[in-house]
Amino acid sequence: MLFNSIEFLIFFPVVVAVFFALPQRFRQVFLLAASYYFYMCWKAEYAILILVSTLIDYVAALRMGKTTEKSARTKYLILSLAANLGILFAFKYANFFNESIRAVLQQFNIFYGFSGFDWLLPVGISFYTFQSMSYTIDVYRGEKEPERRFTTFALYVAFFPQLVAGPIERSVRLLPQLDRTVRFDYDRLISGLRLMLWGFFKKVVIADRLAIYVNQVYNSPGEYQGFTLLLATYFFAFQIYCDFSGYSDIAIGTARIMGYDLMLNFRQPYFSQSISEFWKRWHISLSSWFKDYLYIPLGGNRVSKPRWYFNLLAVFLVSGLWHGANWTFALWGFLHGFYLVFSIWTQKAREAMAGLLKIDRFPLLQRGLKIFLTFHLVCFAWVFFRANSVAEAFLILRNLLRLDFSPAGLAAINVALGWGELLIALGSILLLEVYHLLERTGKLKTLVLGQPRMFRWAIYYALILGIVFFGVFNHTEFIYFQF
Amino acid sequence: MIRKTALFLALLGGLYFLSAFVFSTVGVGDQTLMKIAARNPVTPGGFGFTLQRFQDIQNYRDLDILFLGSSHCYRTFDTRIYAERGLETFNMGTTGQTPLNTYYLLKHYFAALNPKLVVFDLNYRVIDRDGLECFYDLSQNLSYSPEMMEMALAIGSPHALNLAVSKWMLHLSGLAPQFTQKPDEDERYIPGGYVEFTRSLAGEESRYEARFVDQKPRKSPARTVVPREEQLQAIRDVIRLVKANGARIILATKPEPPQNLHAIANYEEISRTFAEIAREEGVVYYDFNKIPLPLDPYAHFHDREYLNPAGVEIFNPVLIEMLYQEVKSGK
Repeated sequence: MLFNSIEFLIFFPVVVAVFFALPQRFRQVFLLAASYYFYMCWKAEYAILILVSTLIDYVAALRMGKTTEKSARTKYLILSLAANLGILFAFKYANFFNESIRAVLQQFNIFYGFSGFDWLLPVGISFYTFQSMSYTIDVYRGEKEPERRFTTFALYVAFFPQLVAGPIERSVRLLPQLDRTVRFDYDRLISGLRLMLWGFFKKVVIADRLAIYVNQVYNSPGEYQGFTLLLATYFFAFQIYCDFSGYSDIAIGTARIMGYDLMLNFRQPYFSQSISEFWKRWHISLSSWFKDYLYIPLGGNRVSKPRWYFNLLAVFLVSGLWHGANWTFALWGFLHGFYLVFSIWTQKAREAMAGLLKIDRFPLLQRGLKIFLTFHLVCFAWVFFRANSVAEAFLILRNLLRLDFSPAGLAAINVALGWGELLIALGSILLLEVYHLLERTGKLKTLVLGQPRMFRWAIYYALILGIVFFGVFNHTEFIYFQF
Repeated sequence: MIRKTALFLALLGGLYFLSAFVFSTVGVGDQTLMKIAARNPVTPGGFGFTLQRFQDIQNYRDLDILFLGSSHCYRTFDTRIYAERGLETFNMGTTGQTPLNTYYLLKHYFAALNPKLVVFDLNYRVIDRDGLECFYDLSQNLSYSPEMMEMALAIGSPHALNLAVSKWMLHLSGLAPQFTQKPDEDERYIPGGYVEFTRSLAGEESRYEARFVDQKPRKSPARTVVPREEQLQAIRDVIRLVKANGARIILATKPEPPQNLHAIANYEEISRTFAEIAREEGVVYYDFNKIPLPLDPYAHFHDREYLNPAGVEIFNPVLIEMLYQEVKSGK
């Protein structure tokens, strides 16, 4: 079930109403049933995968809790990791590796007959397997007691607001919340609805409109060049942000209404002044997952420099492949790893250069330049993320800089959307950034939330009517569903 | 809390109608804010002659035959050929008209046109659509009617609903703009609703279209049409509406170059579905892609889809003969 569907607009109020009407002892079971129903609306049989992952991790953690012997605990951890990564590999990566093997063998004229598996990628598989694995790792490390009640743990894995696209929650945060008694809270309801409204606006008005332009250009990259490709790349940066952060806002909002707090997933990432800052602001739940469960176990930065560089490159390469079974994602991840290595390697030289040019005397200019540069590095990497193949990514990069400043060249940017819609797209991006600026400077609360009711309502009305009139309603799936 | 919620919703409702009105009056030329917001590409009085057709419809009463369907309908059933045989007909086909659109159009116009026989052209190209494309056209070229609102609700797209509400608001305020039909270089409107090609394809266009006719079998992957349930139901609803009003209805699928049907992976299945609906509803269905006709893919077709005037001249007399046989047999 999509958040941006009529079905969800019926499903959610019914779930909330029944949830608060039920006695506490029945709520978990009800929420678990609702969560499975939510998932099964997409493809019922794939719910079995969630159930298998849940059962294995539940039993593995319980067994770990019953012994202090390290080898036994390790055995159960390996069982959990093998099961989750096995499911993930079979459904997400098997065909990719199969195709890669075929391509390599073809180079040597060796026939390879296995055509791969004919199954769909289960929605949200990377999210719930990672969430479930983090639990068994936490139990193994002794940071979390095993959860005794199966329904509580099953709900932790399948909790519908964040089941298919995160935020990837940690057991230490979410499990205790699922156990506590929740009471209906009007303020939480309003605050949750407000967040959902903003999430819907970002998805339906901004992301889905930009998607029309981006899809047209990126699906036929050979037909476009210069400003059109440049604009499509900028648009994709905002499309993916609005799509994914919109989903996260709706997820956090729905959970908040029911009395649960999910972690923040985005903090104005395009205001980052460096790539390392970007990763503290973009998809926070995933980047912190990789930090805690892969980067630090590899040694983090407390190792020799070459090993540190290797750790960064390895983590970002895996992060790229987490996003999708395609070399484009691997390259995207590798690029981000390279950016980080390069920034560490050149840090002193860059500081010296800033001193020489005396830019550090103008902090505002320096900040602006850093934000500009970081944003463009991120956009450069997005080309690989969005392109349909590595060859197309390089074609786009080749044609991107063929800028034609003639009136005809500038007019060529009018693709897929008319001028009117193009203005709406640009206007909505501007609105988004004004919102971010207010949020960043802490003025959002005083300028909007601290105002009289009619003023606040006027803003809510503007957002609702903005969605109703300016939304694009073709039931586009969220980009991160495919991951 | 309940009072506050009720007040919020009531104000929201009021603002929605007010915005629909304002958005449909603000803009440059025919590009209103509502049109841009609803992503409606249709120019009033533009492509397809819908404006002229629904102005012309006011001149028709007590028809012998009413033709319904998409652009395939208005480019196939030449009302002049029927008039030569003393039959009063009207072609109510419009661009992208799906059975769902047809149902609400018919509901609105049936009483005034009062046809004895309805020929409903079923085309596989539109039965997997939601009807929004046609609604865009109708909302720009027809005046408001309650059936337009019903159609918007049945389509279920907020864009359709917004357009219908704005149309209603303009209707209530008496500020609905008046448009005139723009001429088309390639086509001509014939009174009675038929649209005739006035120019044959030439050069690159012609070679491009010929590629589709030449392919044996088709090289590019064929498309599988998945009919929408609501469209199949709408076919039944149209049949029942006609029957309830005491008229007769015949379902038909107009001919096209046989090679072009390779473009559809499941044409046979779609045709069977139409035949099954006809059988269950007790009406006749002619699939003219299965009935031998003296049509040549190059000489009698404008492009890979539509008959040209020469093809129309051949096809319609055949249909008329079949309709006479059908009427005589009393089915």
